[in-house]
Amino acid sequence: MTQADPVPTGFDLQASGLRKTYDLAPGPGRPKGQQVHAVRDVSLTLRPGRTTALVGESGCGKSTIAKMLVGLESISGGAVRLDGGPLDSQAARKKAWDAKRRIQMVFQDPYASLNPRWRVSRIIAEALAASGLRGGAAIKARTLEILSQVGLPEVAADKFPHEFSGGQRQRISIARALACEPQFLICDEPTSALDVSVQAQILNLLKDLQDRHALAYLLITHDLSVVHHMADHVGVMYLGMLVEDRSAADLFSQPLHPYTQTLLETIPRADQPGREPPRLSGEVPNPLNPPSGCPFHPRCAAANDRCRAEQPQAIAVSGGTVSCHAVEEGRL
Amino acid sequence: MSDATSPRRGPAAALSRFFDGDLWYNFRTSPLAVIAAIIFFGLSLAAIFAQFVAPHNPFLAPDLMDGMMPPMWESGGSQTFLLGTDDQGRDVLSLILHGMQVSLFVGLAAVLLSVVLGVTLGLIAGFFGGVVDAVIMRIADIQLSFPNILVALLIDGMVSASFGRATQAALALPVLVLAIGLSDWVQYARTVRASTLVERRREYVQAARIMHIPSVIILFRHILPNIMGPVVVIGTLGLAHAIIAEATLSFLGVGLPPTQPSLGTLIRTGNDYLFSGEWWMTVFPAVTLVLLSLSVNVFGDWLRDALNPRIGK
Repeated sequence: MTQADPVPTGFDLQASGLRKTYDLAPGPGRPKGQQVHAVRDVSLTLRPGRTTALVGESGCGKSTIAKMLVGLESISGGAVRLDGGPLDSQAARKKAWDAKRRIQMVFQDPYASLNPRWRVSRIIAEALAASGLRGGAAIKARTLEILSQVGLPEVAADKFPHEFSGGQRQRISIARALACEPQFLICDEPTSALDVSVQAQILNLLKDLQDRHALAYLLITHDLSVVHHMADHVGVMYLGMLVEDRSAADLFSQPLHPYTQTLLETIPRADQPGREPPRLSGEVPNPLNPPSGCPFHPRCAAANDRCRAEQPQAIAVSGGTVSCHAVEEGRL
Repeated sequence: MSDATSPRRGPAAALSRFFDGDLWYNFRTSPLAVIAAIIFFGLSLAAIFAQFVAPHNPFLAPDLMDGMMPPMWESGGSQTFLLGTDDQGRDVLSLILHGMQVSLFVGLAAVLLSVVLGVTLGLIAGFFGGVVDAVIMRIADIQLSFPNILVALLIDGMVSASFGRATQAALALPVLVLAIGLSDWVQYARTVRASTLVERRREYVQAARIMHIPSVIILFRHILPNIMGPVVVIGTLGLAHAIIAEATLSFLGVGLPPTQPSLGTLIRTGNDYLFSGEWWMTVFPAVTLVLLSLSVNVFGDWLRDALNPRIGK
């Protein structure tokens, strides 16, 4: 295959300099034209067979990125590219979909993500029809095939979503995504609504499917043990920004950003019973009124005057980048 | 995995699911709802089969000698005319049965019209938002600032003005349905819009959008079935309202012509004789109207409570 595009690109999904700002409606005590910067300058790449993870606290913009990647939210700045071509309109997205370059999503809440009035067979059949499969018999056969791939029995096809447990519903959700034969799967907290015992099953299922279909995953989570189990590459987000963006091996063996270090230390450990997890002082700043300089400086032990005044830029480190003045100056 | 239960499909299975369900249990155990349902379905059946049930045919030339007969238990009454006769000698019971047929038809057709109109506009307003939403809902607000009966009178008046009095008699039925239906769509539109605003943010709708399912299909196949609960309730209550509206318009003389018996026209023609002592001509149709609308209302009230999980017993 020859590429006419002057910029050589792989078959990947790339977000560069992604931004999302929300305009706030003026109200009592709120002047006109105020904006919330939900996502600021985030770049990431999804490659076949690889898992990229986004971690961070609630409200740091993880889910907004997921929605921008699949086209549920408009993009305020930056670009999303699929195989090098921009996905800047619904028409472009539809074209990519029809060319069988597909991005699918698994949602956080398995109770809201399936139409309560539809049988499982109809839910899967809709996805199959949306990806171009025609003919009742073919759709039926493929439905059963996909259900068995996600570990559900054939009788599941004739049931309604409310007849299943949370973990089973998440399997149905994954089956619907798989039915479209996507190359990219965005998983927005796929296990956070599930019991711990079921979480492992779903994660292992996702891993198996990735091996079988060479899927590219974006895994959004706040659970670092999930990241450790799944991810090849990790982006740590704080207040809408990527503060550390490195390969999983490097990040877990030698975390650089003070925020990443604190996050990793808070993972409970079985080998150190009674260990007091470190505490971060203060709270996540109000995104309406973000701090000057580094967004993390009000809670950072290593912060100095430069951190308070100047926003850090990404600097190259082993396995990726980190945005921190203290790391750059060797103060840590 | 629970694969013990076998798949349940088909109309027979759906029926048995219904009779096993909460709704049927709730219905069985509320006597008021059962009584209301029996009265409503009894009256409806009598009306639907009026041609066979009614002892006389009120459309045949009546015998004027039979006029103004009181009900059979009053002195001067006859066994032939159970509830007496009107000024032209027509049997009041037969008139009521045939009149109820017209009233029920107008009521159902008007509710159907306002449901179709209101649900469609509400779905569109809630789903697309923006200018479309603003335009539809402002029209609804404007219409809501007039009493319903005034809107119906206006529509009725416009049609008879543009078609002339002569054709009005022939068009009376469809015009009445149109007038009542158009005056009543607002509450459906408002309810549906509010539910749509909630549903369209649900993740199953987002999942459909990711798969590039056309908006029209998302609206009518995904969202519509999930918002029909409240519509069924308002529709039931709206039926009583539409039946009363028909009676009111016919009573005011802008509904059906006097030649066509409906509960409203019967009450109106009987009303003229009320003070001369022939009370049965207006009281019996009026009681029927009250029974009909009351039973629908009680049933609708029960349905609203039964379908609302927050008003648990």
